[in-house]
Parts: sequence; C-alpha cells; structure tokens
Amino acid sequence: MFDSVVTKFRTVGNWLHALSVFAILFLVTTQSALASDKYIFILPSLANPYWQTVKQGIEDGGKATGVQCTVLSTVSDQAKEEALNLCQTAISQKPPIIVLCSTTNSIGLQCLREAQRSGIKVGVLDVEITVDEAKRAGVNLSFSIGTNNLEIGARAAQFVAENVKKQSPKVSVLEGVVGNTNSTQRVEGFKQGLAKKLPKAKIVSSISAEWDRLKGLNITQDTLTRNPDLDVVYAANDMMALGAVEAIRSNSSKKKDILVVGVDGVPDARKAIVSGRMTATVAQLPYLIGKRSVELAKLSVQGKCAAKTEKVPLIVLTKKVLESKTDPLLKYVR
Amino acid sequence: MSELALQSVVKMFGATTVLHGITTQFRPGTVTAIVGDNGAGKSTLCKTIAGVYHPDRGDITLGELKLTHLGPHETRLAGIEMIYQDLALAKQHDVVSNLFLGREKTRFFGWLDQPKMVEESRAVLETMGINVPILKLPVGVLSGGQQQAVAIARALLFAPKVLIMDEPTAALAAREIEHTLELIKKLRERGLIVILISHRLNDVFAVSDRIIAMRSGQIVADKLIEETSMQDVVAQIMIA
Amino acid sequence: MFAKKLLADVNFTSLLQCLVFLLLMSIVFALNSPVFVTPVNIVNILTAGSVIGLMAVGATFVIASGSIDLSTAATMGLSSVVSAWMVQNMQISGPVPLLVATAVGAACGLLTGLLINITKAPSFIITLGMMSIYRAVAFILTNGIPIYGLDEKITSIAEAQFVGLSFPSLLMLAGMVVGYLILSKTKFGAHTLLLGDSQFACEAMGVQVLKLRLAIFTLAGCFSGLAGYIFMTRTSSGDPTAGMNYELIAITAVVLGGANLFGGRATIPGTLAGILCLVVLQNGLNLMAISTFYQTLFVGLVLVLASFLRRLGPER
Repeated sequence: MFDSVVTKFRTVGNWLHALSVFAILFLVTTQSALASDKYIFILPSLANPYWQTVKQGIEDGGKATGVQCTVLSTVSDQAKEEALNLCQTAISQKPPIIVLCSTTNSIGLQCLREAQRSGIKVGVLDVEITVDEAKRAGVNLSFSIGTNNLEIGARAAQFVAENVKKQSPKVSVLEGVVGNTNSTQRVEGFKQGLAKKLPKAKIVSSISAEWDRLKGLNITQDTLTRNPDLDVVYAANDMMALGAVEAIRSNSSKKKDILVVGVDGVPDARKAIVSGRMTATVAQLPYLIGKRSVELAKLSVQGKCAAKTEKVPLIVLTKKVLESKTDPLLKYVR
Repeated sequence: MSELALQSVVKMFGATTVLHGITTQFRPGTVTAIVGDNGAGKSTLCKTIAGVYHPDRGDITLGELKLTHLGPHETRLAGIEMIYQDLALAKQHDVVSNLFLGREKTRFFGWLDQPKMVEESRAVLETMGINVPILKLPVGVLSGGQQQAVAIARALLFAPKVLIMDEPTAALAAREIEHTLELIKKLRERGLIVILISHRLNDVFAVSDRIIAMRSGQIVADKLIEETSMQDVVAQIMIA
Repeated sequence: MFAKKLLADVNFTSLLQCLVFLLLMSIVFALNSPVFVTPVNIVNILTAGSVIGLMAVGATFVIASGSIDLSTAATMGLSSVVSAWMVQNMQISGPVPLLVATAVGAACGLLTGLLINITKAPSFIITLGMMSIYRAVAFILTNGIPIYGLDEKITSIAEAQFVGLSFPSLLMLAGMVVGYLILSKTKFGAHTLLLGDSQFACEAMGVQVLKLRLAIFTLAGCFSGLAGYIFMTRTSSGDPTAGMNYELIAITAVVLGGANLFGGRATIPGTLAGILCLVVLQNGLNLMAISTFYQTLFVGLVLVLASFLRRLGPER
C-alpha cells in the first residue's frame, strides 16, 4: 500500500495542499486580530446591502470619532443560533461596548443580558427593543437607535393614500420571510395605516415573497392574473418591489399605472424610480444609523449617554424627490 | 444422519413451469454437483430447497422433517444453509462481524460480547484450516478465496446438515480454487450434504461424488462420478 | 506492529486526521487571539456546537445505515416549536418540555422511517419531502411567527453550569457518549453499520431490516428532538425556521469524522471531532472578526481538504 514511490509523491502533494490551506488561514487571521479596546458591532447578514450600508456608516463614524470599530455578522438574517454564538464570542473578548442588532428580540435581550453581566456596556441598533422594554427584561441599555418598522409601513400607507386615484383601490402586499419581525411590522404598520387613511381600500393578497426578487415577480404575476385591475403593490423591501415592477411590465394587460411602493431605498430601486418604472420607496437611512451609533457608543463609554432613545428619520423617495435633490437627508441615502 | 429427499417437486412462475416434478435424494457425507445450461432450473431448485421459493406441488423432506412450506429463516433453523454467488458479505466489516452477522453474541441488553465472538471465530477458522491474516481486516480487502472461506465458515457456525453453494469457484483465481475445493472435501468428511451449482466441470469432477444434469426443469442424468466422464456430461447438457 | 495495526484501522486513521486538523487549526487561532484558549471560550465552543452536535449523533446512525436524513433540522425546528408552545401556554417547566421535544422528534423519525419502508424509495427523496412537511407543520402551528418571550426559567436552563460546562454542552457530550455506546458496543449498533454495508447480506442472514431501519430513524429523531429542546432553551424561543441548513452541516460533520456517506462505516468520536472542527473554525474566525463570506469559504476548504487527507489513509 505504502511502498510505491508514486504513493509517496501523492502523499507529499496532499500534505502540501493541507499546509497551504493552513497558510492561507494563518495569513487571513493575522491580518485582522481583534484588539480588546475595539467597539464591537454585531449585525445580521452582510449579504444584505442594507447592513452593508450600516457597516459603512459605522466605519466612517469610527474614523470621524477616532474609535476603532469591529463589525461582526452572521451568514444569514435567519441564523438565530449563530447570532447567539457570535454574541458569546464577542463577550469573551471583553470590549468596552457591544452594539447589537438582532432580528429577534428574545435572542437580542439574552445576548445583552450576558454582556451586561460581564461588565460590558450595551446598545442596540435598529431593533424594536425600547429602553423601557429592555429595562423590564433586566438590561440597562445605553442607547437605542434606529427606525421604527411600524412607522415605515404607516408612511407607505400614507403615500399610497395620497397618490392613488381611486377611492377603493385593490392592494397587493408582498411580505418578507415568514416570522421575521421586520417584515411583520412593516406589513402591520401598512395595513393599520391604510385602514386609517383609506378605509375603502381592499387588500386582495398578502403573501410572503421571502425578500426575494424572483419570488416577488412570480407572486405579482399570479396576483395580476387573478386581479387584472390591481392598483397598488406594497412590498416590505425593495427587492420584492423590483420583482413586482418586472411582473407589471411583462403583464399583457394594458394596465400599467400600478403604484409600486417598496422599502429600503437601495440603488436599484432608486434607478427604477428615476426611470419611472417604480413609484416610490420608503427609505431608511442605514448610513446615518451606523454613523450615529458610533457617536452614541463613544458617549456611552465615556459615561455621557445612558438610556437614550434616538429615532433616525425616514425619507420617502419619489421621482420628484430624487430629481430635485433638495432634501437634506438625501446625502445619507447610499 | 438424515437424508434430504425431493418428491415430484413442481415449481411454476405464473404460467411457466420451471421445475417439472423433480424427484431425487441426497445422502449425508456426499457432494452432489448440479450442472446444466442457463435457465435449466438449477438455481430455482436450490432456492426451493432453501425455502426462498415454495414448491407448487410435491414434497421436500429432511429426515422426518417436512420442509415443503417453510420459509428461508425456518429452513435455516432446520439445518439448511445456502451460500449465494455474491457471498452476502458486508465488505467494509471485519471477519468477526461477518461470521456473526444476524446472531451476534450478547451479554445483556444487546451489549456485544466481542471477546467471545473473536474467540469462537478463531476456533471455527482453525478447525477449517482457513488462514485469515488479521481478523480485524475488512472482508473487502481479502482475496476472493478467503472471502469464500469466510462465507463457508459463517454457514458452518450454524452447524448445518445441508450446505448449498451457488458457483463457489466461478470468481476465483486458479490458485484459490484449490483451497476452496479442499474446504468442500472437509465438509464432506464432516458428514454434510453438500450441493454445488457449477459451470466449471473441472472443479465438479475434482470434488463431487455425484452429478445431476438438468435441462428445461428436468433431471436428464444422475450419475456417480465414477460412472461418467466429462464428454458424457457435456453431451447430456447440450442435447436439445 | 501494534501501531501498524492501528494505522490499518480506517476508523482510527480518520479520527486521527480529524484531530490533527483540529489541533493545527487551534494552533493558528491560539497564535492570533489571546482569548482563544481560555475556559470561557472553550465553553463557548462546546455550547455553540451543542444543537448541531446532537443532530449529528442522529445523522451518524442514519448515515451508518446507508441512508441520508435531510429532515433532521426541520424535526429540530418542529420540536422546538412544540416544546416552546407547551412552556408558554401550559406553564410547564422542568424535564417535561425536554421529554416532549424528544417525543416529537421520535414521532417524526418513526414516520419518516415508516414511509421509507413502505415506499421503498431512496431515503434522500422521502426525507427531502418530510423536511418540507415538518417545516410546514411548524409554520402552521405558529402561524409563521416564532414563539418567544418564554419564561426566564427557560434561559436559565441554558445558562446553568455544572463542573464548568454549560448545560447544553453537557447534554451534547452525554448524547455523544450514549450514541457511542449504542453504535459501537451493542448489537443494534452493529446491525446499523452492517445494514449500511450490505443490505443483501443482512437480509440473507435473517436481520429484520425493516424493523431495524425504523428503529434507526426513530433514534435519530430522538436526537433531533433533543437538539430542538436545546435550541428552545438557548434562544428562549420556538422557531419554525430554526436551524435552516443544519441538516447539511450535520452531514458534513459526520463525513468529516470519517464516515462513509454511502453507509457501513461511521463512528461517534469521529462525528464529535468533525463537529469540533466546524465549530472551532467558526469560533476562531469570529474571534478574528473575519467576514462571514470568508467563513463560508473556509468551511468549504476544510471539507475539500478532508477529502484530500482521506487519500493518505489506508486503502478501503
């Protein structure tokens, strides 16, 4: 088995392969070892452009305030247990402060509680945990910054009410991944707002397209088949809204004046709005959230900030807003 | 010891009759070879004896015991063992696991008694004069002859009265055929009824006491080895 | 001679390779992070591997028997949902949710096994179907909204420590020990491996294959159910989307540990080593704050590398 020279060569080759993998691992890790005085920010999946923008804000904020920041993230927004593991890893490094964004409150609170027990200051970013709620769960937040998802839905509903031409329009809602808090609240806020501002509106379908462009397209196609006289599509994120735009464009019926409202304000959606294919998007300002959170974190560490709640404003991006370029918040839209 | 007897055994698959009333006896301490062309009914006959198939008419008895309607598990308990051509060995497992497959020795709650099994394996391999280098080696790395020997040893652990072997030498190298034939002779000395299915007349003539030639589900010749010759058998098989 | 004999043992060399790999990886991380080799971090590593580790024990049995179970993670999610529902709506605590979660898992496994036996279809197809079905049941039960905000007592279970180890990691290690004893020391375990090696041989030698397969899937279901309970206590929620893709991670760990994906060869110590490889890799890269994109890359590299290393071992 082992006696032939050929086998020996092959063996050596395999070990070289193994060594090279470790060499890469070594190089990558030495580049980015953590120092313990760094602030740690834990974000959900960086595969989502929204969190990428938050990260960019954090990094720029770090440079502006002279604070070293590390951003950790999980593979996907759904990875709840991984988020918990990540949090425990962060705690074991004893940073001065951990700023967390978790897609689920229970995990978020659990993580914060553990961090606090280890004497680490804690803040939250873009989470539906208020300072009071956290206190009830035994966590003293230094700050909570972000936008309210219920409000996003409400703003979208308001926009629809102001811009739709009919008294009783037919509305289709595209939800995000089932069970995701962001999705639930954006949809909830929209439905409540619509009931208030446009009580005669009829929601013909409310289906999860799992944040996905293609699923948004397919579902909207089916909805259009059943309701050729659809007036409004509200999607809980821009990706699904862009899918809906494609479905409407390729739809054979003549009806093209369907309002499509998304959430987030990602570059693709802005392009679609400027070119008139999509109507509007309710944009959060993730860059501003990221940047501002670093400033708050620094104040917290210095003991100048405690139990502070800060709401970052929203902006409804329409063709008019994007082309006039007068809104001061536009500079934070990335 | 008791005789294995078949009394006008008929086996049909649907409308096709595969065995046309086979009547014959097998005596302990003899090796009987069943030869014949493909589709002559050799395998069906053996599987019927082993209880895999049930005869549509006729009777099979081992001594006083009637086997006709017994299933494969019950015929095994009655003392009939069959070694399939592919040996039915677990190739990634060691010799001991294979020898005790299906009736592992246990102490309590299914807890394996490994030392006892190793000990008994050694014993049975020794009495058969089978040389396996390391008992822990996976059966798959052993030679074809050694694998054949393990399969035979496993059958012997059941203390069978009848051993049916399907093509025991077909897949072996020339050097190993010798060993297997030696093993078969040892089985005869132990007083077993050995039934071979084989295409290789050389091997058949080297080890058998009696040859049964089959054609289209019937016995066309049944001779003691001294009474016949290879040409004779070939002729019997070939004549249409 | 003894050493040579050991090296000829495929199981042993696979385990050895995995351990060497683990060691090298640990050295790299320890050199780069001062907190890597601290008791806190080691407990973290074991805790992080607890859910997936328990699932992998079940997966080891299924893979050993020559099947694949893709429904383990869905089973885990479903039992986390059912036990969380009980905790929230029936104010039950203590060992009852644990037993319920295990029972739910066992029931799922039993059903899957039954369907495989009845249809005689490849386990891959059936479990793929059951994966969707169990997820759907969890979604329907919860209306898609995770059950959260459970009683404080539940999280305190996950945070409880005995002899320096967290409860989830202890449960995982206990599961490993039990799994090891069953697979390597009992007739049932021997039959499991033999079934994966050659179903024909088992049938020919009178092993009741259908019953055996049913028992294997039920046992694997028990372990998934137990994992669901740990998931529930750790995240203090019952989540229908719990552990997406975990079934594949579990299979990865089992194969890393030296198991034959087509059955017949698998060991629990190997699976433990495989799990540790994956968890240590993730933990180390987290400590280094390396982007998750690279983490995914490394998991892939490790698996491919392991396949290369396999070629160094004795032939099989």
